Amino acid sequence: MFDFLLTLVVLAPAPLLAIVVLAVRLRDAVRHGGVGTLASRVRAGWRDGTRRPVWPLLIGVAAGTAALTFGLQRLYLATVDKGPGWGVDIALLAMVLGLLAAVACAGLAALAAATVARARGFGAGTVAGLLTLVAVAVGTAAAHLPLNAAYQAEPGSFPVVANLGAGDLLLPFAVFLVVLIWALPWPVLGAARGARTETTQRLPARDVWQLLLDLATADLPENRSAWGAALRAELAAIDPPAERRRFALGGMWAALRSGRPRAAWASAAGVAVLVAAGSFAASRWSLAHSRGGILDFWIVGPSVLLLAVALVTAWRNRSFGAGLRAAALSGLAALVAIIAVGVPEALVWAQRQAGYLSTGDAVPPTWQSAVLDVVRPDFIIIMIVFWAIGAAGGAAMGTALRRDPAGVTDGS
Amino acid sequence: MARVRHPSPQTAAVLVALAENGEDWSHGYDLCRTLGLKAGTVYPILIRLAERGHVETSWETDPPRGRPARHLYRLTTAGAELARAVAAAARAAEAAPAPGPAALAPRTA
Repeated sequence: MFDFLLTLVVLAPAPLLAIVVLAVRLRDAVRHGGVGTLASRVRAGWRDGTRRPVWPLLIGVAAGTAALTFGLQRLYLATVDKGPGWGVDIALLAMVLGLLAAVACAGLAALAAATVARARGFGAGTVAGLLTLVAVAVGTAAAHLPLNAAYQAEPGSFPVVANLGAGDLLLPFAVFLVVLIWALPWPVLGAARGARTETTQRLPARDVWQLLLDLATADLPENRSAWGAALRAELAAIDPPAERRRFALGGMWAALRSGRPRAAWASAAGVAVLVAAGSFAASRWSLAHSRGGILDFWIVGPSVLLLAVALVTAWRNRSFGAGLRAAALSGLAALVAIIAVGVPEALVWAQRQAGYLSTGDAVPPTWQSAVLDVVRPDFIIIMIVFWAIGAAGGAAMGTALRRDPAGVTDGS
Repeated sequence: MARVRHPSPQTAAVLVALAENGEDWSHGYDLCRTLGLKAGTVYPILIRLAERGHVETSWETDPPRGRPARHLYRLTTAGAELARAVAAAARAAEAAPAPGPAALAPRTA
């Protein structure tokens, strides 16, 4: 049941939305120009999505990713066999950090797509976003594949980790490359969002400070969007570079402080109560039926709730960012609820010799280890990864379901 | 009866600056410069004051070519009353003997 929920509710929305967006865009293109213009539109999208300053930036992304992967692999090899001594499974931690990095890459690609789409249209944005992911994959592969080849040729010269199968030492880096496939819909969604903001007749960015302030104020909740426009208009009237920098930084801070949607605290409290009650029920049900731990619930339950919070908030505020901000606050509340219920429940499990609360796979030797299991960093990171995926999917759906009427501009 | 909040020193400064302009409209950046405060401080104050009905907002009707219309601010009648009360309280505080450390406790806008 949890697997079904995870696949259907948490992972499916983004690809489905991306397919719908592409289908609608294709239909509109065919209606306006006929099938014959599709090839020329694709060529134009490719040209606009790769021309300066995009391609030098893509090369920078690939080179940066290669250097980062090289360094992380060295760090991983230097520490992986020391994990048991530190009480941390380094290989598992690296694996879940790879998942988190894939989520971050999806965000980066969506941001790149939105930025390019704002200036050059949906097709160019999609191309730039997808190429950003390709650049990340190329950079990672360039650093990972030679090391992996060396490892497969001579595994004896590499550290040996007891709980990893033969040839699996560098698995976290290969997993990252595979999980990047999950990020593929996000350039399409980012480009669609960027192309929408293009219709609000914003002026092209004058410098990096205007670009940053544009990004920070681009997606404020509906009741704050006029203030975003006010900050942008005010910056446009300032000329001295130092004053522009100071005003833009202050404006970004104001946008962050003021961008929290209404009722975010109420949603967070609701999520905390539901997650706490759900954790307690799952714990007692698993104990009564001699099932494993409740890590599955910790991953899936809050993911579904955060998806709902992000969807409703994004829908009500007509804002993707508002959905994400509300979900972030609710996610924090969910984490507090899990720890608050998990610690006493872990003690109950330990007392009844039922195993660790998270996985139920072994009886903890001490009550301290039972409690520390609830706050294991690798489990918390994997929860955050799936919660972030659910929240992003919900925010994207909420934004798509309530689009701005055509021609609406910011105003008080 | 509605709860009366004591404005923070920064909010009081914004109120007084807007009150000095009377019926004239002010720009956010000019307020920042006049008061020596950052946009990250002044704009959240303006947002709160506008939401509480103390400040009214408008947009420039005839902006220069190539530049978007700027947002304008001035006090409402309720805002002008609040500004007068704030100024009176500040004068009374100046006239009174040194109140001790309790008066330095932070207040909310």
